[in-house]
Amino acid sequence: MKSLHIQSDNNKLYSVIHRPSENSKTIRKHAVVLCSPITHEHDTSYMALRQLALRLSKLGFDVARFDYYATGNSNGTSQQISLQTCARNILDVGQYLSTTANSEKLTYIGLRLGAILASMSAVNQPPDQLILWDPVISGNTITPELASMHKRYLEKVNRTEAHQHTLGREYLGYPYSDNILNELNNTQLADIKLPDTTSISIISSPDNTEQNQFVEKVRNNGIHLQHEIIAEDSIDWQNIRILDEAILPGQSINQICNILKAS
Amino acid sequence: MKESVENFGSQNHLCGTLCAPDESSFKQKGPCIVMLNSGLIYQAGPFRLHTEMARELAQLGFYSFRFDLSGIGDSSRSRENITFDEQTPVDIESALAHIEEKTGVSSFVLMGICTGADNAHKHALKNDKVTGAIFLDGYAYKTPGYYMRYYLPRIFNPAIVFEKLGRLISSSLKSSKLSSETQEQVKGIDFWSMPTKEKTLEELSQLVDRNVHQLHVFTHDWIWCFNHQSQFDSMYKQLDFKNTATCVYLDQSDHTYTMIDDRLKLIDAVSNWLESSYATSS
Repeated sequence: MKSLHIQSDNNKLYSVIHRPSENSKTIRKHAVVLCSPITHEHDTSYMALRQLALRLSKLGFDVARFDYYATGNSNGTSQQISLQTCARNILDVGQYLSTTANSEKLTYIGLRLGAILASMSAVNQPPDQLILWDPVISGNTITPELASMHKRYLEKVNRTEAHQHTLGREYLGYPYSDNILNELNNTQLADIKLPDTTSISIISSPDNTEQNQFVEKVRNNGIHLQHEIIAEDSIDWQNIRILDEAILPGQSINQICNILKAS
Repeated sequence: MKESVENFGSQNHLCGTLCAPDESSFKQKGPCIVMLNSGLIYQAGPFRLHTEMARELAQLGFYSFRFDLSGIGDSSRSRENITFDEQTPVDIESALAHIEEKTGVSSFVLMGICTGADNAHKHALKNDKVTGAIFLDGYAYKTPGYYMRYYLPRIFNPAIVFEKLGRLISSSLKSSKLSSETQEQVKGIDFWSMPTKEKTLEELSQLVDRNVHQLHVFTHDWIWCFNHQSQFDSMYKQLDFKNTATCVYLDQSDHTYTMIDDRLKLIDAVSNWLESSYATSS
């Protein structure tokens, strides 16, 4: 595992590259870019993505994890985050990894909002494989969910009155500009025209109506899609306890490794 | 301001980000602020606290280094056959040596939240190049003033009195029925075992003798052992800090500075403290 900066739009993205480990039996020449969620979900899922990257590198894959522009350890202030920029960042990291690994295949794995971002990137430069992991289906459901969680957080810490002014522009520790809120409200996974040359898998939580409807819609459009429901890893993303926790969905990680091994 | 990713350590398994000020603002004799992990949170810190603070401090002319200890965030586990507690000082020492080699800066301020504050304290005692420490929710000891502020509102609050009576009647206590304060207290104790006050006093006095600047910051979440600004002077009244120590109580903030306003207040407090503690360094 090696950390470095990767250039994207003249900005430096903090990235971690996992080359196939010395113990892996095969070098697969297969680059995998992990596309994280943003803001508090990025923090919550950091360890899970690290774990997935370590597992994949042991199986012989080249893997990149990174912080989008204006997130985590990368350049930019939190107010500058934009979905369009994040999608371009994925392309640049994919390009870097494919070139340096001399890979013959490229896969994007997107978790939560990262699934939308990976899909946006796939439109411009189709990867061989796209894995949508517990994806957010409708961007316009995010803002009300964030508002509800933020309100519950303020109630929990008895600060509702003092922080009334933050409602609508700060959610769970991060600022949300008008730009990102507009982008979220106008983005639907189902509206993104996924390339038919890409093999698509979706790792879903059980009883998720939105995700099930999305799968049905994609299949009705004639696109083949592998759908795996992982009951053991059901994560309540709307629970404010998630702010203090790191998720570690072991079964989903196993399943993703299996999908990639079979590819 | 310029940031570079650094891979370092005996097996090149550690990773951190060096944030350098512009040459025009660089304080020649100023320290480098070294940000330690808080629990399992990677080097960017909770809600990007370390990233934001590093860039703010660079504007003031200070170098900073945020990095991950072995096995945390983006640093690999060490191949040495030693425990995490034994590995931590080795990692911090590697970081300080790497910074000095890269920048020439040989004076350091260690900063950490909770377990990070514990590590900052322990390492400040070991290395003379540590000239300052920022303890965020670090060691604290209850005083009569603490108990008064804790219990008085309860005595005059009938709801709490009845709750206490109910507990006395009940033959067993179940954790699910504990008051939120008690749960916080239990949670706090679970974080680490606080050293005895005598030991802390002895060690702080060693820091004072070495003229190590100290900033102690406490938040509302430390209410299980700290609940008012003047408690700091009371709990360490035996020790003459000789103007080396400053205490800031952020009574609204939570432990990880979730709200943006809280992070700004902390960054402000750290900036002011650094500027006054290292005023002659520019």
